[in-house]
Amino acid sequence: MYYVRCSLKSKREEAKDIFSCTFSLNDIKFLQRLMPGRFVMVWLPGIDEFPLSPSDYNVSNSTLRLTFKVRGLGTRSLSSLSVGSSIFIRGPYGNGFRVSKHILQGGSKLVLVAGGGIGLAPLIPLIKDLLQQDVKLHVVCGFRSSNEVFFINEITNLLGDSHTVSTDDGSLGVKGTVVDVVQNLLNKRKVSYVYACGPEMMLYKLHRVLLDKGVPHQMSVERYVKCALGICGACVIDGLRLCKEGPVFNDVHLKGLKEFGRYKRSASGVREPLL
Amino acid sequence: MDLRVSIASLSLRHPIMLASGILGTTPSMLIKAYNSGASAVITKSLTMSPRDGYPNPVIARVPCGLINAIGLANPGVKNYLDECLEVKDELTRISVIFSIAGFSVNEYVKVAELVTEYGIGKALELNLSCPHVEETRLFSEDPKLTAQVVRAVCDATSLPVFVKVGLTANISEVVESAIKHGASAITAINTIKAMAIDIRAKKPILAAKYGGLSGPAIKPIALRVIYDLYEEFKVPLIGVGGISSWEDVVEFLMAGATAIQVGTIVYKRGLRVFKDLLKGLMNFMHNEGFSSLKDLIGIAH
Repeated sequence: MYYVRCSLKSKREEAKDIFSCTFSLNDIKFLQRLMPGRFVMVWLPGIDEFPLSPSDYNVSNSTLRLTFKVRGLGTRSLSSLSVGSSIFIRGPYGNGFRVSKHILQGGSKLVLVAGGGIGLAPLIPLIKDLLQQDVKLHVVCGFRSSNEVFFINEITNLLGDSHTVSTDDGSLGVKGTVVDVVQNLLNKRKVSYVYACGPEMMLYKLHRVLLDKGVPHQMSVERYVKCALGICGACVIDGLRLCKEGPVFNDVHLKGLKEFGRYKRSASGVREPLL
Repeated sequence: MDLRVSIASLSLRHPIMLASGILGTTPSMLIKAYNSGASAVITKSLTMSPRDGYPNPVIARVPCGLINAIGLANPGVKNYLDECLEVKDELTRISVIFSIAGFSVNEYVKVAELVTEYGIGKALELNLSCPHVEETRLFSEDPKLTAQVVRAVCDATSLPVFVKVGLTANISEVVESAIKHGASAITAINTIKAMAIDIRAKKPILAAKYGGLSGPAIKPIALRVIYDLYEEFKVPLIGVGGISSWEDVVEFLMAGATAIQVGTIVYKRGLRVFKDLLKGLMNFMHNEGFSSLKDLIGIAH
């Protein structure tokens, strides 16, 4: 079996153009192979196929949640599915966030999880995994404006007040970017490790700050994905394939990537400068 | 043990190359594939203008291989070459073959001229046989069109020109026409037009419906074609189609291929496949008492 059929159980609009769809699927093995940060290829027959990292999954009740921002035809169609209808997924693909005592060692030091906009979605399974570890955790959630804020109740339920919400325009929470908030925290607290996902320029700036301070980190990067099997080369960032070696890269990998923070590639493979 | 082979002016350290379409979207991956052990690396088929290719899904996995309908997606020859210039020193150190495609004789010529002018490639491989892009496929179905495009490209470049042909009923005529008009080598075969349907979605998997089948399913067919062409023609042959093990490599060499290309197997075994295949080939040659690859090529005839 190549694609796994998923049936839409429930749907909610989290914020402007941001939706969560929860699906049921009868494939325990598929769910068991998921890890925070790994991605699935979502196929809407006759419309499109695109990568998404699930925002939640549950092996015991066979559910998978996809949280996404409407950007094109595929995500628009996904957002307008009615309960009971089916989509198809294949995967999971890539390397996810690595969580281990060895990585997180540092005793009283803090572990930070930083999400920007829709980049917060794949961090939820990571936060749940980190909560199983004996670490002090703080989550930074950054948005452009209050009308784009989502998942805050969920994060509060998981972490209590050990999180910071920021908006670029100051319409909710702290005024400023994710990078500003993390920088402030770094000045006040000893941080042992940072996990992040969000727009590439946010990640790039954060990466520079963390390199400067010597804080190890992992970041989930986005690229155009075609085959997801490691052979077409569409998702290559320098010499690394997003679908095999990524989408999560660590600080050592990121440091060596000349395209990180500079270029993305279109469907044709043309480099497009990041703004 | 002498594993070196020559195809026109192209000298290779051994006969195992990376096939076109696999990982060749960016120069960085070509360098990585070469450093992983490929003797030559071939770019994605480049056209004059950038092409997005078909919408997703562009690939379907089947038990005996893969079916792809990428649709000749590529950044366009100019963008590609400009990116190559940034790593020119590294690229000129390795054997890069530029695969080119077009929708008219003139487009093939223009792309060939640009590649020649930039001076990075060691050879050209004309993709005349992409099974899922009608306009390109037609070039290798009609010996007259093959003649036109091969002649025009050979006149426009100083690089050796390899012609990649597909599985057609008149393959012998097409190859004859390509050689007569200047081809230095023949690459055979391209993927074979095929499809896959998802029975639960009740739809063809590929957005383009049809694609090109590659992988173990087509190996015996490709082998037969190489065997036949070796009987009939004297130019070097490059075998491609489902080569997955060192035994497959040996079979193709015995059938008459001077070199071979691998693609689909990279999906299963990663880039370490080049070293594995080479090791197997060398062990076989040692055990069977071959000291030079030349003694192996065409031995099955």
